[in-house]
Amino acid sequence: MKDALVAIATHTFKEAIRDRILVLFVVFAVLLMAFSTILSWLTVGSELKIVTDIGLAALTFFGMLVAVFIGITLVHKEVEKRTIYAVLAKPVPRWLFLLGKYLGLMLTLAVVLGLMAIFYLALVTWKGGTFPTHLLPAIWLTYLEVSVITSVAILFSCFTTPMLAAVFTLGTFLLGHLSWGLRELSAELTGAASWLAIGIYYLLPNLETFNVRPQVVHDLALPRGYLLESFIYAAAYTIGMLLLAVILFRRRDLK
Amino acid sequence: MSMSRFRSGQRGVAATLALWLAFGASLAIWVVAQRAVDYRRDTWPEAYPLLFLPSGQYLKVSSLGFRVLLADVIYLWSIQYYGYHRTEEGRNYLWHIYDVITELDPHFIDAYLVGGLVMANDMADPGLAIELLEKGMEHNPDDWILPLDAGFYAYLELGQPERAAAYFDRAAAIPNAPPQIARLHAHMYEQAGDLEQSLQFWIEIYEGAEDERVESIAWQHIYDLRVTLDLQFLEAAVGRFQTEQGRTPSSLRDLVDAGYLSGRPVNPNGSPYVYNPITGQVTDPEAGQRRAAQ
Repeated sequence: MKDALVAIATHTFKEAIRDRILVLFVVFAVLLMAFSTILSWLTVGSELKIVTDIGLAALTFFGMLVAVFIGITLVHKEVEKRTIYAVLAKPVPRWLFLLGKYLGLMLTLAVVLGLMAIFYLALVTWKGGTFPTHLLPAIWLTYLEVSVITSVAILFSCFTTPMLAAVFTLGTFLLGHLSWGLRELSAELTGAASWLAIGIYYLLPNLETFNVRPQVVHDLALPRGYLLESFIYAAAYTIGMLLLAVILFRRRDLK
Repeated sequence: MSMSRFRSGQRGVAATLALWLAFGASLAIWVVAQRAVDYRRDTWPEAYPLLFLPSGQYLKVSSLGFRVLLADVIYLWSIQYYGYHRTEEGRNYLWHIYDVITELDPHFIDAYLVGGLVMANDMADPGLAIELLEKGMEHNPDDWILPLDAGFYAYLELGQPERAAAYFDRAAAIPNAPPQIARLHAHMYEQAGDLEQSLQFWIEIYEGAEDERVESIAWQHIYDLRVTLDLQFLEAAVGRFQTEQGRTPSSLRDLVDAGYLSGRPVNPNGSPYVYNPITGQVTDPEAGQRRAAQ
């Protein structure tokens, strides 16, 4: 079973890394980061801050795009090309297939974000003169954020078309950054409405959990335990989404 | 054959159940983790959420054409933020936040009005509120509620009737402005700082409002004026009780029982006022929250 998992993950990684769209996103991200140095000439002071801000935003934005556009096609492509039948004809349970796909994509994202982060850190080091260790937590949390988005993309890709899955996942990304409003709203409401608001708040991924950019840019310390708690949140949420994906995928008729 | 199919069906149901149970467990874990993260974020220093707001000009460029949407998001956030954070840090960033919102969307009238309310009432800085409204008037010369609001702050909060008169003139000259503005102007000098008259004025504006925005802003003023008047009355009643009974009332109920109040005092939303027997102060439990029109 372990061999099958490794084989599926490796195959997914090899396939994803050859995708042209991936190269395009990385090139755009790098260009945007490089452009931030030009933009920083327009400001009075805060040049390093602008380069740092834009770079972190580019990492998150393009990381999210990679997660969405590769995540949504993972299952669909296999079904369309009929390669899934060859895999599932072997003693490979469907959950293992999905897990392998997810791990392969996470490996791809690790490589992509890693490459972008190396360029980004080099740029900030060149601009600031010292290696910005304080930015590392933000990069790590960006990886956690895209891992959550990937799990959501895989969930949607299990029961709908790639186009709809992309719309749903991008919608979830937007909602995930606005869900804090539901928590505030629940405090204003009473009774069932308040419970409903807080229920939706907990069901949606709270992607603001992974947004510590305002703090790290100003080199402010994160509270003790924050990284661990956000990791537990990301892991539990991802596992939850993958379990839902497995439940749906098991019922899917692939004939 | 049928037995094996039955067994495999049973295994399938058991597996589905196990998956749902596992999902429930992961849901419980992520809710607990989210609560822990929320707690950490709630207890971060006040300045943290305010640090990452660049200038409006910069955001205009970087919002990729979504600047009005961005203005909405910052506006929504600011309302929540100032509902709970009436602190010195919040005050320092107050102008910056509403300046950014109105820079992104110069025709966002509610942002000028609500920003003005937060500045004048919650942060006790009516001068800053007028500055924001001035910016609004510059971008929206056809909107009479902006100079009316500025005049109101100058009249009531700053006690500057001449300045207020100039704003009321400006508001009254705009087509579709309600006729009450001209009347307010006429009686302004003899009634400067009169809360009851101001309340009456906003009630008339509220009742004659033809759009939701005017209704909403009039209601905010009615609410704040009503509460100010109620609190003045209640604190005077507490003072009278102390003088006449020789002790501090232990609750507002004491004032009702002793005949100083006719009933349990409530704010315009119907929530009871809160009394602190140690300090003798009465407060509004919903102070600082922006309210929907009734």
